[in-house]
Formats: sequence, C-alpha cells, structure tokens
Amino acid sequence: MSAEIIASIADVLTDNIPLTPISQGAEAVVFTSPVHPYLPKNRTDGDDKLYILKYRPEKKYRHPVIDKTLTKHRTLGESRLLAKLRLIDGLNVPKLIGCDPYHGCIWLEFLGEDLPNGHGFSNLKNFLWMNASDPYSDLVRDTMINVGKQIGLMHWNDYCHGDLTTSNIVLVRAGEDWQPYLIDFGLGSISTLVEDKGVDLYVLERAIISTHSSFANRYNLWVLEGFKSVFESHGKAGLGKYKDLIRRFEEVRLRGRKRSMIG
Amino acid sequence: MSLPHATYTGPKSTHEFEVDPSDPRYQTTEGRTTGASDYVLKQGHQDVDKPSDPKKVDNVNSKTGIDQYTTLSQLRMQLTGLQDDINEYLTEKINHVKKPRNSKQEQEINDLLDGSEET
Amino acid sequence: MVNLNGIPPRGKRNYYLAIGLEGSANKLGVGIIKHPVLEKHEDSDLSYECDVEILANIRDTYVTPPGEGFLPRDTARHHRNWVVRIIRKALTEAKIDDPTKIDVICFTRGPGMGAPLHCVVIAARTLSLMWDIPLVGVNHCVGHIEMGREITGAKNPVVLYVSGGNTQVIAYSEKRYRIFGETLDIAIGNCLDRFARTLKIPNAPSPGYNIEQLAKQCKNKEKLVVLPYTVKGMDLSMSGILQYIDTLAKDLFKKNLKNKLLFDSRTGEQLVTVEDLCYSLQENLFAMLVEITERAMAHVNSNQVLIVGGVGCNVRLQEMMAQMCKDRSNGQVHATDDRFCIDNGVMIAQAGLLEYRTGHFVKDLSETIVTQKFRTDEVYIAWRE
Repeated sequence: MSAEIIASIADVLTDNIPLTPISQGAEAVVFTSPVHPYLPKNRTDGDDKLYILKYRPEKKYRHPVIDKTLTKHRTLGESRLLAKLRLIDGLNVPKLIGCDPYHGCIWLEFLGEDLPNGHGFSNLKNFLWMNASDPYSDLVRDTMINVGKQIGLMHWNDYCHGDLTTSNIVLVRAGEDWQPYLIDFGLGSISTLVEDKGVDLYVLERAIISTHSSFANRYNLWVLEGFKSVFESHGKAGLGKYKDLIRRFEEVRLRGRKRSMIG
Repeated sequence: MSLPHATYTGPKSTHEFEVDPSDPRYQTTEGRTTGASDYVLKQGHQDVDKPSDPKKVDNVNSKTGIDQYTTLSQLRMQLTGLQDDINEYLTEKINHVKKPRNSKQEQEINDLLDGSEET
Repeated sequence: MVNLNGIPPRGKRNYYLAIGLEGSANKLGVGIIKHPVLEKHEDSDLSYECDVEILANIRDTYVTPPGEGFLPRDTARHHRNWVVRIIRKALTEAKIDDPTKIDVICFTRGPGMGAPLHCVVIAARTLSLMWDIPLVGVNHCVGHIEMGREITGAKNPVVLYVSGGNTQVIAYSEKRYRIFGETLDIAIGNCLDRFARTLKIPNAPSPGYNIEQLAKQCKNKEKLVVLPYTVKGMDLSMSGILQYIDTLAKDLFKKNLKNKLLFDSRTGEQLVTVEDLCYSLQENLFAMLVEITERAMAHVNSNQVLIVGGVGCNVRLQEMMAQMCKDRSNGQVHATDDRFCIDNGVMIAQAGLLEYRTGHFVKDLSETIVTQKFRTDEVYIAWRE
C-alpha cells in the first residue's frame, strides 16, 4: 500500500476519528475505525464494533477534471445503490452509514473476518485459494451456490454490479456456513437490460477462470445453479427471464471469442 | 527450361492456362491485375510497392531479348503474365454472375453459389 | 520447472538461430535472433532471460495517404512484393551466408488481416521447404508479450497490450496468458487511427504518433473537453467516444456555430482547437486504460505493468501508467521503444524460438493455416511454469 495515498485521508477527514488502513483496491483505500463517524458515544459504547471507511483518493495519473467528476459520480452512485439494495429481502449488502461525495468517502458497517492460517481477508478469492486442497467440498459447493443466489436476487430486482469479481464478494460467517455479501458497487447500475446482466455474469466467470483456473468449470456451474434457483422460484415468468438472460450471457461469451483482432 | 502452367477445374468445365514467353504480356514483372488498387491511386497514393525489376545476367553483351535476364527473373515475368490470365478469367466468371437477372438467371446464380457451373 | 534445452541447436552449435516473419497488419517485419544455450535453462522458469542477441530487425510499413486506412488487398500486395527483399536484407545484416543453418522459421499465424497474413505464411512455407527448416506458427499477441518480457526483464507483470487491432489486459496464470479486461468494441489504436483520418493528418510514420504530437501542442490543458468515460468493470468501450469526438471535429471544420462547446454562443469565437481535441481524447482514453490495468493488478496482487503493442510507444500513456504504478506501493511500469512496441519480426522469432525449444513445431504443413481470429488465451505457454 502506498503510504502517501493513505496519508491523504487526513486532508478530508477530521483527526478525531482513528483510522487503520486494511487494504488498497484498484479504486479505493479501505480503513477501519472503532469510532462511528457521527453517532454519540453513548449509542455505540460497548458495541465492540468496527466501521469501514471507503475512501476514493485522488488519482494523480488522470486529468483533475476527469478525476473530480469520476470520484463524485462513483461515490454518489455507490451510496444510492447500497441504500436501495439494502431494502431487498434476502439480499446481502453492507449497511450504508454515511457519505461525503465531494471527497470520495463512504462509511459502511464492517463485514467479514480474517481467514485462518494467514489466508487473508474472507473474500471469495481468498476463500477459494484457502480451499484449493479440497476444492469440491460441500462447503465450497454450498458457498458458490449461495453466491449464485445473491447475484440472482440482485438481477431479479434489476440491479447490476458492474465489477463482479471474486474480490468483490465478502464471506460472513453464519454458523457453519458462509453467507456471501456483494460489495463495491462503484460501477453498479439499475438496469433491466439482459446485456448488462449478461456482462455481469461474464465478468465473474472470467474472474474465476483467471484466478482459479483449475477448478473454474465446476465453480461456475455451481454459481449458475444458485442463480437459476432464484428465477425458478418465480414460476414460468422467472424461468422465461432466466432463459433470455442465459442466451445473452452466451452471446457475450462468444463476442469475446469472435472479436476481430487486427494489428 | 520448362514453362509454368496452370489448370482451372470446375464441376462442369476446365480451363488450361499456357505461357507464351515471346508475348510481351509475359515479359514484365508489373502485372495488369496486380497493381495498386484504383481506389487508392485516386486518393493520391504514390505507389512504391511494385515488385522488384527483373535482373539481368551479369556481363552479357551477346544475349538479347528475354535471355538477357536471369532464369529466375524470366520465371517471375512468366508467372506475372500467368497470374494476370488467371485473375482475368476468374473476374469474368464473377462478372457474369453480377449482370441484371431474370428468374432463369436467378436460378443460375443460386446454382453457381451452390458450387455448380454454367456450361 | 521447464526445460528449454530439449532440442539441441543445429550443427552441434552452442546457440540457436531463429528467423521471424510478421505481416498481420500494414507492417512487414523480418527479424533474426540468436539464443545462447545456457545451463540455467535446463530446469527453471527463466524464459524471460534468454540473453537474446538481435542480429537483424528489418521492417517496412505500408503507408496510405492522409484520411485513408489500409485495405487488405493493397496491404497484401505490399507484403508480397517486399518480403523476399526484406528477408535478403535481414540475412545480410545478420551475416548469415548459409541460411540452412537456421534452427526454426517462425511466422505469424494470427490474429490479423487475412490476405496479408496469407502472403507472409506462403513465404515462410517456401523457405521451410527450400532450406528444410521446421516451422512454428506464433500468436501475434504472445509475440508482443514475450518480446516485452525479454527486453525489459519483467518477470511476471500485468500486461497491457494496446495496438491498432487489440486492447487487452493480460496476466499469466497456469500455462496461459489470461485476458482479464479488454475492449468491448474497437481497439484503442483503431480509435486513434480513425480520429486521425477524420482530422486528415498524415499517416506517416503512424497516425497515432501524429495525434500524440498534436496533443503535446495543446495550449489549453486545464480546460479539458469532457468526453464520455466508458469503463465497464474490467472492460472498456470506445466506439461511443469515437463517434462523439468525430462529431465534434466535423462541427469544428464545418464551423457549426450552434455547437456551444466549440464556439462561444455570443461572439462565435472558436473555443476549442484540434490540439485540444487530441489532448482530451488521449487523456480520456488513457485514463480508462490505466483504470482497467489497475483493477487487474489489484485482482492478481501485482505491482508491475508491461505495456506492449504500437500504442505502447505513446509517452503520455507510459507517464500515466508510471504514476499509477508508483501510487500502488512503488510499482513499476516497463515499456519497450518503437523497435519492439510496433509490430516487428523479432518478436515473432522470440516467441517462436521459445516454443521450438520446448519441443513444439509444425509436423505437417496443414498446421500452418493462418487465422484472422486467434485469442491470446488459446495458446498453451509451454515455456513457462
């Protein structure tokens, strides 16, 4: 992680809030804080909770006009989506606590934990790497099916993630199982188009193939199994929608293969 | 030196292409059908991509005509003419298909597209 | 671990010789390289440290008049009429008197334009039959990657491959170059080339280079012309941007005073120049490229980037990428200069020779059929672990 980028949060946030950097993604730096950004202490004392600050720092490589516009657009967009998605029954997304779009800050509840044996944070990517020695266990299978269900629920309600990779799916323990939570909706959108949903599925499929290549086939099948079950539960109409979606998904897949490449 | 030749074979007919080394058509490396496209020349393109000139045999005073060139160059020139013959023949075949058509010709075209041939 | 010394060089030499023929677009390249036989290659993962010696790197580009792109028929004609002369020139420069000493003939099997690819492969097959030398067909993109790795010594970077026909973000995983992100419609080089045609600027040395020079001359860098920003996850789309900026340029030339972006609504004064448009286009497109590259880096936990392909010559792109890498825990960007960024024969020889050294080469001429569409991840990378 770049120390300079991490230090830049001091420009946009009061130093009354202690912060611990935990990761630097492509777009944002993620911090945790034991202090809630605005609730008084008596409301949060004894909670033992952590809060997440997702901060989109200035990107020096791009023109300042592009940078400011993008940061505001993405921060606001993500916040709006999170608020709406939270209202959907059965859909797991982090709870939005606060937002400062002009400086690229979003406050969220903390999700996930550290995986044992130094496997890192409990996102799907690390979880699959951790289970590489027993890749087709019931636990992995059930988890992948649940991932499919979450995506199915999101798509059924006409939302698209826009950047569905295994780093953007956080696993939260629920008894013996892991419940998947979708995070990072910076490129998300409201969309009824099968095209956008197909691209969502394609991006995830490719992400799984690219980083978990040996077991990708089975993993992707399980995801689709969970995905399909959501649509099936809505009867004939649901199944019809599912078929249209899958057809477009396959077209998107082929498009990648057929793209003319000259030069 | 034996001359190059070519054979076209279609479902209903064949055509032989022969080279006549004394014909000027087979004595140049600049083919009539293998020059730069008309479209590009019209845009003002200066053609710098002609095939290399035929090579003369060194130190020869006594030889004239075609024999002043190396064997390989003679072959290149003959092939250039041969390629022109083939290209013109095939173009003629295609153009026959493009002419305005009635239902009989429509049928003929469909047959051609299906791989058969006019007599 | 991989053994790169499985097939010994011809004539009991202690080095390999390979010739590479490239002609998938409008550049015809012939390269001749030498790899010494090194003990360290017997059982290791060092295919990026071949100590390559470049004996010849000849290239001739088919250039069209301003405002025109290159068409397959004339491009193929250019390749067909120059290939023998260029091969001869390469052999002379490499001081090879006896070409039958060459170990392998490498050619571009694809992707690319059909007719030009075809012309070059015919030359390759002919040489192979004449001199009795084995053939290896090479994927053009893999050629760029292997050349980039060898020249820069980058061990396992995320690769950004940007050219007239391709825009891909690639990372190596388990014997394949996997495509993480790519363009959903046109390639960035194609976008720049087509805008150059709209502007009717010269195509020599390359349209992209001329746009870069115009962009440098922009005097209005603070005030950017806002263009659509179309990153979609790990991918990006550019046809919308091209359409938009083409319209702006045409309005500028027509002096369409109704366009408030270009002309002051009261005075009619011109607010935006051609240089401004070039600058804004580059800033926008490159920001998108850097973003998807950064995403891939985050996903595979890498902080190294290698830029290959013709557009990789662009200095502004290299600058932006370097800034992004620096901000990602002091990462580095690797790039090659125009000898290797732009299509050339040496890169085909490099990738081909690596494949040959792992024991793979054409056993029957039917395997040398060229193909216009050839995905980077279709190639089995036998020379890496």
